[in-house]
Amino acid sequence: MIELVGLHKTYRGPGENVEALRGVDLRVERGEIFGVIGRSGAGKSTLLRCINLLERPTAGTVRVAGVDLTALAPAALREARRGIGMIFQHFALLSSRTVRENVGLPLELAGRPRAEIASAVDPLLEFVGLEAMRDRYPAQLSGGQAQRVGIARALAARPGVLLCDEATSALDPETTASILALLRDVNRTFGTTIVLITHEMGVIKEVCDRVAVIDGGRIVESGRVRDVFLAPRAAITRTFVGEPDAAELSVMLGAELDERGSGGNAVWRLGFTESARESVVTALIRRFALELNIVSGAIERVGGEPLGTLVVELVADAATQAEARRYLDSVGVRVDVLGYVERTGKSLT
Amino acid sequence: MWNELASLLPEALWETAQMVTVSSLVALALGIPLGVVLVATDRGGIAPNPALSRVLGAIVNATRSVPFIILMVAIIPFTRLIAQTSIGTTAAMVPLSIAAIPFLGRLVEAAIREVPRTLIEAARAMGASPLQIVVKVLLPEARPGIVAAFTITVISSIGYSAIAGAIGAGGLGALGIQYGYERFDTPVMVATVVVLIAIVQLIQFAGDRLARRLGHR
Repeated sequence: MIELVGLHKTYRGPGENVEALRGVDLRVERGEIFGVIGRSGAGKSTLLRCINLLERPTAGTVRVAGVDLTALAPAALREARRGIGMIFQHFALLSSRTVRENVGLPLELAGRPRAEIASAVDPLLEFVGLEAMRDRYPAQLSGGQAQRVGIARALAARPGVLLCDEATSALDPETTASILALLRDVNRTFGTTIVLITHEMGVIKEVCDRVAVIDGGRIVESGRVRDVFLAPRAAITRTFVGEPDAAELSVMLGAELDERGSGGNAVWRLGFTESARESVVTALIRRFALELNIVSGAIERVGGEPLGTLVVELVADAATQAEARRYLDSVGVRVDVLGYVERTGKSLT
Repeated sequence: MWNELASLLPEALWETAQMVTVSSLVALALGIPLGVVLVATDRGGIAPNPALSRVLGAIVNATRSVPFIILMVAIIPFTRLIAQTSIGTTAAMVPLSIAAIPFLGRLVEAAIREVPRTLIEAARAMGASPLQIVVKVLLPEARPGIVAAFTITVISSIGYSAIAGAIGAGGLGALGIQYGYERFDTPVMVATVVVLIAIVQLIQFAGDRLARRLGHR
């Protein structure tokens, strides 16, 4: 549905140029909810704005629904943008228009007749649960209501794609949850492909099918949310999922974690579903001649499914470690080796 | 004295009203588009045209820096061309309009700049053309600010019309200066000033109310 190839964006500054995107390739499939997560300044906002060409990339192509937007003339581009809805962090509603008039704006811009606009707007307001507010002005709405209006407006022209620019960052956690639920509804009801950018892993876990992690203008990791969550590879992704980095782990372990090492006690990250949680630790200790130190652990809901991660130190020799590893693989527990610690006197070897 | 005042004041008021109304309407018709063009053609605007923007900005600044009394004299040939005369109430409307257009233009420019950029971005994302952005987003969103700007323009035109009065345009300013100041007729001067104060208060009050009603913030 969306295909970004070799995207570069350089802002020419007075002193030096700023490279916001340094070669981004991304495919978003029809009907999926795709999340892009990154810190502020990572380039995620520029990336999103390149999809509807609010920002024109310095190099690269942007294809939406098979059309290369970068090749379109201004009028054709405006036409194409009607097929791409967008919502904003601060809602971007017109203060001079009522809720209804705001929602009808995209149709008005497309030159549709008044009667058609009126008949299109009411069902949308009903869909977002705001039919009672239709004659209010934006200043009279709460943040959550305003974002619902934003969503209704973005859907007015029946777009195939919805871009969400930090859509929940200005909202409290409860309202965030309800807006995310609404986005999922939009996705299921209309089959809308959704791309959202955020700096909160919670948002990704809640609604996204797939995620890309952006850092320094590059995609450093991407995949199914579940997989990225259970086995984050890039250091930045680990901080997003709230996992301690090597330095923090060393502090927790009370010994230097050698990420490249191969001898000594292994430090593993185990990833598992809720059902497997209890048995994993017990089984490891009972079946094998090893001691297990739990370093950190968490249970999180990803896409409504509980997933657990556990960082453990295996006090065992290499052979036992290998056996344990085989066992865990066989029961479907994901194992990632974070490194090794050398301990004098504690290791069984 | 009171009889004299009763006959002079309404006439002067009418002349002032004519001058201010015409120049304000001309400013409305040309100052608002000027303000829009100043914003739109600016670097990073919705229809960037740095050359046009710079030229317009320079003209606006030049007009605004010439003292009104000098402006009046300087454009006499132009005034004669438009009004067929260079003295009197009708003639004064020309320099009053010329002064009011860039004045309102700059204020409208400032009012439009207050519209959050994200609204322009949202409109572009919806496929709005530059003209649609002006008509559907910028002008409606800046309406309270534009009303306030117009109020200030009308009031400043009243002030300028008094200066025009000093060189034969008639109106309240002329009345105050000729009868009150030059003939030491204090009651006439006071009466004129009181009427001016009342008018300005009234216009400011009406403008504020309208701006508040239009602003759904």
